[in-house]
Amino acid sequence: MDHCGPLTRSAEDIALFLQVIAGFDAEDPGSEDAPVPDYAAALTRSITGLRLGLIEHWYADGAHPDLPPAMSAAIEILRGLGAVVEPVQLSSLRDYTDCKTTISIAELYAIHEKDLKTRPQDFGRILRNRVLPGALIRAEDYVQALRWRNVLAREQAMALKRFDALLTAGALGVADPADPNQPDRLVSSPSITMPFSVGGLPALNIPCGFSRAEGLPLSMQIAAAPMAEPIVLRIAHAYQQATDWHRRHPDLH
Amino acid sequence: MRTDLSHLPPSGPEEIRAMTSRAGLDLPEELMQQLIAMWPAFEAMVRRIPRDCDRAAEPAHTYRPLRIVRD
Repeated sequence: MDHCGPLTRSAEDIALFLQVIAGFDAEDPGSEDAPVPDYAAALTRSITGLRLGLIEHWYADGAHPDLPPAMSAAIEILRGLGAVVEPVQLSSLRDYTDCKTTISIAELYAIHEKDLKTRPQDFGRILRNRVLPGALIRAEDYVQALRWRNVLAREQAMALKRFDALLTAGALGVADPADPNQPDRLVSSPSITMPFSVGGLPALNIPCGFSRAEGLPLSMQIAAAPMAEPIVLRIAHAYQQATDWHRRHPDLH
Repeated sequence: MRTDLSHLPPSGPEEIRAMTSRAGLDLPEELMQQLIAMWPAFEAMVRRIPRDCDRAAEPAHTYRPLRIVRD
């Protein structure tokens, strides 16, 4: 149920990478038999007139203090490029996180059940503590979460009848230190990357600033209708042509 | 009207041990303690799931047999 995809320096590189890996795989039951668009060609189009729905309430509370101003600045740049940005209200971030987590941990447990029963100590602490609770999910909870997923996905689909794409933050904070003893943030705060996994939408995170205290990247997330990767890339590329956040590096020394 | 199960009290350590055992897991005590510490946060998420979603969204109804038989 998670998103997977390329991690690159720029949206342009994503387009080139996606051109190579996209396409129908008959061996993959989750693969759609749909034509592969020319992703790089999509980058050449302007975003003037595109309607973008801003889901601000997902990051209005509990986010890093530098995130809302960074997002506001990014929205102004998109408006300056001709996009029409308007607020949109969806279910709460907690609703999406509850639904996605319930489904994910049940499915993750099913994947790892054999190893968790025979050698649980071989898993890293954070992964093990995310997956083991899946053993305690009841079948009726899993089914209710799947039903709810359809409701939430339909809500996103309705929003995408009004908008060409949806915008929100890409993360509520900055990256954690690479410390295996860190507390697991999954259980302490909702994850803003989960909602578009629930909806099954193409989504892309791009840097939109740096935090003042830590000097680490802040990010904006762009999502669009199923198979509308060209629109996501077009918006990200237009933003990256007007900014240089994606070229900057954090000072890690 | 609330349709979720968030009004139920959280499971205690002995209930968590019993559920774990019923799932066929025999964890070392250190890992069992970690699960006991973690489960309440996950249980709260599960209990907030609404229980009145349409049955038409049932997984069996969204199963696509043509995709399976196509190949």
